[in-house]
Amino acid sequence: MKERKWISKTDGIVLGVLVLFAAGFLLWRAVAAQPGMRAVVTVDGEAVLQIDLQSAEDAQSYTLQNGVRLIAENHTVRFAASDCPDGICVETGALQKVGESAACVPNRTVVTVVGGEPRDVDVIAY
Amino acid sequence: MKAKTYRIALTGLLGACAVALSYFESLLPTAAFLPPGAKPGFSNLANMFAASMLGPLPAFGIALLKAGFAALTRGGTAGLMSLCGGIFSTAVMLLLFKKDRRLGFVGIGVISAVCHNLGQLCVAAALVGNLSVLAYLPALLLFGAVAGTLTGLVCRAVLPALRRATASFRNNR
Repeated sequence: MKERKWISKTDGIVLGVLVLFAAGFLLWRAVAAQPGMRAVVTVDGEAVLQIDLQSAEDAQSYTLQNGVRLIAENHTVRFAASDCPDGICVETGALQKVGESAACVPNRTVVTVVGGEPRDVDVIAY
Repeated sequence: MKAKTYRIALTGLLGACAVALSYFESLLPTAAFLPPGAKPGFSNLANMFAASMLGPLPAFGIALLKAGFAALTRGGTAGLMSLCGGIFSTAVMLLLFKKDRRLGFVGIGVISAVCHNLGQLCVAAALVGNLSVLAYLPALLLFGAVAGTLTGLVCRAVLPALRRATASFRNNR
């Protein structure tokens, strides 16, 4: 049986496709993403809190029932504290643009920045 | 019988290496430009070697051991994520080593690293009940490509040495 190579032509194709796809996606997101309007916080898939990022200037702290603490300031939102072992959520840092997301999997908590209307529609004026 | 004993011993040895590498990895500082929580996955070396030389049982055994270690040191959630990522990537590795003739070590390393990340991300999405964690995907794919390349190269580089060591061990029995 022929010995398997260190690196083959097929490997190059796999790597190329992977890197192109990922880099293209990242680039597209960096260029196309709008500044977010709201941050939606979900626990176990249920929306438990919405933070208006447009009006968020000074640091405002939100503590969820599961003990996770979030801070919104300067139109961004971030995980400030969590009791999870890894702290990946806090490490993710501040989110600002539409589609950006941070998750604390051990606490089943996700923060996602969304665009659109700043609130649920109260009044529609024509 | 002797070959079997030897295989079990070597599996244990590789499992210990995997756990040691996992621990070593957890000591490394995380760099700012990397996606949060991304790890180079050195311990996949042990899986890859087991998948290429020892067969399904040892390879899955090592994946299980790693998941158990993650659960003990970093909590149940990390354990579950490690389990699903590990089983998925090990299964793909075994399949590729058995069936594929065109990929090199780098290719198998990359594909299995990406599968590991995909498996973990799917578990994360299921646990938080929210698909927005898929936003991590491109960064994880990119990082998986780099980490998998390294794993593949190192696995191929140490293969002759490991093969020699195992051969002499076998002859002494």
